[in-house]
Amino acid sequence: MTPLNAHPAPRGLSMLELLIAISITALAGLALSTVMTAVARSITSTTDERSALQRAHAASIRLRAFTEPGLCLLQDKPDEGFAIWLNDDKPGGTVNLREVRAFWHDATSGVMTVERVTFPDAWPPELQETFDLALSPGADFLGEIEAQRFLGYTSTEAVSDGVISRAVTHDAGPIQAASRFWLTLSMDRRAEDPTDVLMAFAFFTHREPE
Amino acid sequence: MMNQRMNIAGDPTGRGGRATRRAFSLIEALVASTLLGMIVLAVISAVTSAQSLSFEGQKQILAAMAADDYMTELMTLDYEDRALLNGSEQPVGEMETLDAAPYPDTVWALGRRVGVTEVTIVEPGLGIEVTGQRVVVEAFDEFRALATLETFVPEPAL
Repeated sequence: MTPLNAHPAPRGLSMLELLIAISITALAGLALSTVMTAVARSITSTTDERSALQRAHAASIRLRAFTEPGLCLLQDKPDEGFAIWLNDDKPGGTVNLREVRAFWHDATSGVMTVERVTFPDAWPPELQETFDLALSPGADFLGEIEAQRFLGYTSTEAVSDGVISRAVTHDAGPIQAASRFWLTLSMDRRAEDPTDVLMAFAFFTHREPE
Repeated sequence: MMNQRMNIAGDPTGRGGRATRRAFSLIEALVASTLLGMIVLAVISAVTSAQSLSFEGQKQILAAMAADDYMTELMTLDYEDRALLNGSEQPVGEMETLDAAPYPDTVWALGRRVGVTEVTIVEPGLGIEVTGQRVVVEAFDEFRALATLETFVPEPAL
């Protein structure tokens, strides 16, 4: 008599069972990956929007540093930039070159910058005063800054990046009479629709140039 | 009889040919499915919670900007004109500038209100009393206030 085999040899999977098991696993994995892809896309979109808002907030703070001590809006060219009269350091009620701050927006790179006239440090103060020309209220302030840039007498700082477009609106008819204005920035969110942010600015010591 | 009991080579069960199969029972399959579903649900819940917190963070940023904007606009008004805005409220999703220009859809979840009250600040050490406006700007969503700004504007000299 042969004792019964107490430990039967393990039975493996047949080819059909293996294929079915692989198919079921693949379907389950596909369903799960679809869900996780949608979740990842949502996370990316949220991250992009938060980044856009943070950049807009930072831009707002930087711009306030100019507008709150500023005197008035001087000029706005929708496709180029806008200019403000920052102070009247050279007293007289007129706008001088060094008192102007030009805010440019480059639609190609999405960068918003602020530019001002700075004469070389080697120049004596009298020479700098001579070249710090007075501008009439109707002057092309942005054009004057560009002209100084071609001479190499300006410096530029970044305000924000990822700006698709910007628009200035104000509360008065003539732009120089506006004591407050609003800036709408369209912030880039990569593949998503841009985020539009509206910011309010005020000239607390508003004064029009003479 | 010996033939009947003889262990045929290659036959692990000794029963002459057909192997015993053990498959999953219905209960085991249901338990496995339930466990898998719970794990997936837990992952999705965690991600959803993170998304919700992130959205709350965005609202906080927007609320701070909205309150700051409103306070900036209010500070450009005359003393008397500012007092007229006491208690005015812009409901959630209907924010607009002081000149009635609507805000973009980005702030769809926010509203703002302002309170302007006449107060007198007393500094007993210096024997000074200053009368002015206490201006409070609040940005809120449908549940709670998200950002509050407060400032004091002294009454202009006559």
